[in-house]
Amino acid sequence: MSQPLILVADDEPKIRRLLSINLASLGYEVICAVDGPSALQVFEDHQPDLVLLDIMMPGLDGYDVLTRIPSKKQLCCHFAHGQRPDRR
Amino acid sequence: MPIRSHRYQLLVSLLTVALIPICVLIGYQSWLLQAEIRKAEEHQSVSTQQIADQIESFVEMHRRGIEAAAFQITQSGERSKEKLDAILVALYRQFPGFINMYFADKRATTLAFHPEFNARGESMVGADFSFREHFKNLLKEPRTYISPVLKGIGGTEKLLCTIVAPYFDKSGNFDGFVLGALDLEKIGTIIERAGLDKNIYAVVTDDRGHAIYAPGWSALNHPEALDIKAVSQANLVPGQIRLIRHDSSLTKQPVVTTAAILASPSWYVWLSIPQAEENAIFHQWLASSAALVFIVILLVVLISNTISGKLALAIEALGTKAGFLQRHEYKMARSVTLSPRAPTEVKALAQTFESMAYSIEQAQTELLAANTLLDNRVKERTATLVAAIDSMRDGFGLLNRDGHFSLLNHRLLEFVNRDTQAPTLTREDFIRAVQKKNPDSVEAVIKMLSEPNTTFALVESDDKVWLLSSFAVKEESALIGMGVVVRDITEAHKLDVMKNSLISVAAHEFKTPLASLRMQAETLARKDVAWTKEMQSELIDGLVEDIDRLQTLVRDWLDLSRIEAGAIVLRRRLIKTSTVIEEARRAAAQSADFEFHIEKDATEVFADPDRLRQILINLFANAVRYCDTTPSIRVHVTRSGTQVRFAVKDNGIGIAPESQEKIFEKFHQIDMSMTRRAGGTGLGLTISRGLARAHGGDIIVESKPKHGSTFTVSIEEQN
Repeated sequence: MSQPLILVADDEPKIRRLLSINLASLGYEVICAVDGPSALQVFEDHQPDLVLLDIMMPGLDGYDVLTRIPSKKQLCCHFAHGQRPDRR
Repeated sequence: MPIRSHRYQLLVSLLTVALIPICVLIGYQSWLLQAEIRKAEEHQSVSTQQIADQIESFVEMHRRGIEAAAFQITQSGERSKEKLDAILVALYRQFPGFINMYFADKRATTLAFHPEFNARGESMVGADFSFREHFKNLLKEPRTYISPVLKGIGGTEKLLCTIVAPYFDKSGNFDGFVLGALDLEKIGTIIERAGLDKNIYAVVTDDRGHAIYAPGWSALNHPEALDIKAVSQANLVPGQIRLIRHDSSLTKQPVVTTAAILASPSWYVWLSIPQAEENAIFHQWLASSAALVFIVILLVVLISNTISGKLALAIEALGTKAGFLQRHEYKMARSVTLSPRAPTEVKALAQTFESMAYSIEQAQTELLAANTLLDNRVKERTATLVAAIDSMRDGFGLLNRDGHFSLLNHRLLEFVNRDTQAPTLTREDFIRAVQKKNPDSVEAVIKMLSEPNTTFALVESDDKVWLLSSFAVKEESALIGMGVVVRDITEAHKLDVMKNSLISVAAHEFKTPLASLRMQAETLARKDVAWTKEMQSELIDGLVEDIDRLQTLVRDWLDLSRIEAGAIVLRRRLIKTSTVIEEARRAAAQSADFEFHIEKDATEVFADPDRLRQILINLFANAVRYCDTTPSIRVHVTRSGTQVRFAVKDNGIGIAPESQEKIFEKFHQIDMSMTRRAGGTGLGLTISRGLARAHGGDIIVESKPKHGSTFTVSIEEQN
């Protein structure tokens, strides 16, 4: 059993970097994605145990990515980094 | 009092006027007729009297003759035949009315007789006449007697009477008498001489009623004379004429009789005229009067008819005229003319009518003109009003108190999806239209239509938002309706949404460095991890970078606020172009391959040096930021009149044509991640363009993806 894999999806490089080093220091394996589509791709390829999603991302935003993640087995959590405008 | 037609009134008036003199005339005529009749009667009476007098004097004369002879014998005492004959002859000569006469002695034996011989040739001397009634009377009382009428006595066939007078002896005793037989046919002559009308017949009788004279009448055949009964009953007195009306015993017809009685002898004389004569006169008069009345009435009717006919025609024409006037057909009214024979008063009236019509027509024409003018003005005003409300960008309608819209413009009709030909718009139509757009807004629209100064937003769809508002429309403080304004606020709404979005984006832009700051600080502060030196300095550099970024953001945001508020203050002065460019290069393009060329007339520029530098720094920073290779910047400064242009050409990634205008919008980056990577705030171009425009210029861009961009800043010096 290897270490838990965490997917960090954020378009901000600094945030990605900070999350990565902090999570890594805690012993997690971290994989990064710069936008929604690549996050979905990485999710399918690596089946991470946890996903940290930014809301405001180019391509697909956090909510969209969340609805498209097929499995519910994985613990999913989102990082309320940005707020979406109200949706009517 | 009943109202009659003038024809009737005229007829009655004329008849009254005509019949009064006719009545007077008839009365007068009647009086004349009465007088005539009276005169005729008087004439008849006079004739009667004359005849009576003549008869009386005729008898009297002969009586006196006889008495004279008797007196002569009494005086002379002669009784000889010769003497007596001589007297008789003289007497006979003197009074031819005697047929015969004789002297007789006191025993009634004739002494002398003239003519002595009768028709048979016998001598009448010595004849005894003592049987005669008059001798007996003489013996009783010796005086003159006149006998009743006789016929055929003394050998004649003549109608006669005898006059006998006594004579006396010397001692005055009765000694004999003288007698004359008077021929009464002479009386016929007297009557004929009177020249009576042929209608009048005369009758003379003796005191016993024996006819002496009668028309076509043989007295002795009918001793009872004509009408004697009526006359004898009349109590006649000598010297007086009686008028008797009775039926003629001959014709059985009424007659008027004037009768007289002689004093001596007591004979009756009368004249009769058939009353038919009088009646005929009366009838004639009656007929002529009736004819007169009839003719007058006929004339009156004709005249009144003619007059009233004319009047009626004239009045009828007037009526027609008035009718046309009533219907305002003045030309027709004037065309109605009166007959030239119409009464002048009516003509005058017609003229008054005409002038009245003319006045009315003129007044009406003026009124019409005034009306037209007023109409035109109203139309003009209405047109202006309609044009004004139709030109409004908002829908407008006036909802009357009866629930109908008046005064509504095209926009409002468009709002309720109606064309102009549709029937009037009602309150319910409006509510239905709103309901169709958004069923949830029914309550709001009903509230708005009932309460003035109510406003609500009607969201029809994402692309259509309306602002509906109402206000009270008052006329002299009385509420006459509700003004309804429908405003399309889709654009404003979009702007609003955009503004919200902008705030959100801005917040995000501020949050990102803050979150980064916090995370770096927290990471550095971790005690469970011992960070390498390299990691520590990376984290501290990151902290500084984030603080810089926040500072820049705040500065840019403030600049933007000033620019948008129009509150930017330029401190222009003449500056050297090359200095500004060099300063900007040092600040933002040290890593770039940089060249600039300034035209001779553009070495100086009148501008705010700080702001111009800010613009150039933004442009140079972008050129460096959006470049995948070694940045290369070429600046070319030119002048055109009072305008100085800075063309900044780079070798960057370029901008797609559809994005070339959007890059000037706030936080509009082609790719925000790229911007952040490049360290921009997303406000630089917006601020730069705002600063250039504050200088009276602008920034335009020419670009081709992958072939770099040229941003040209223009500065207007005389602004």
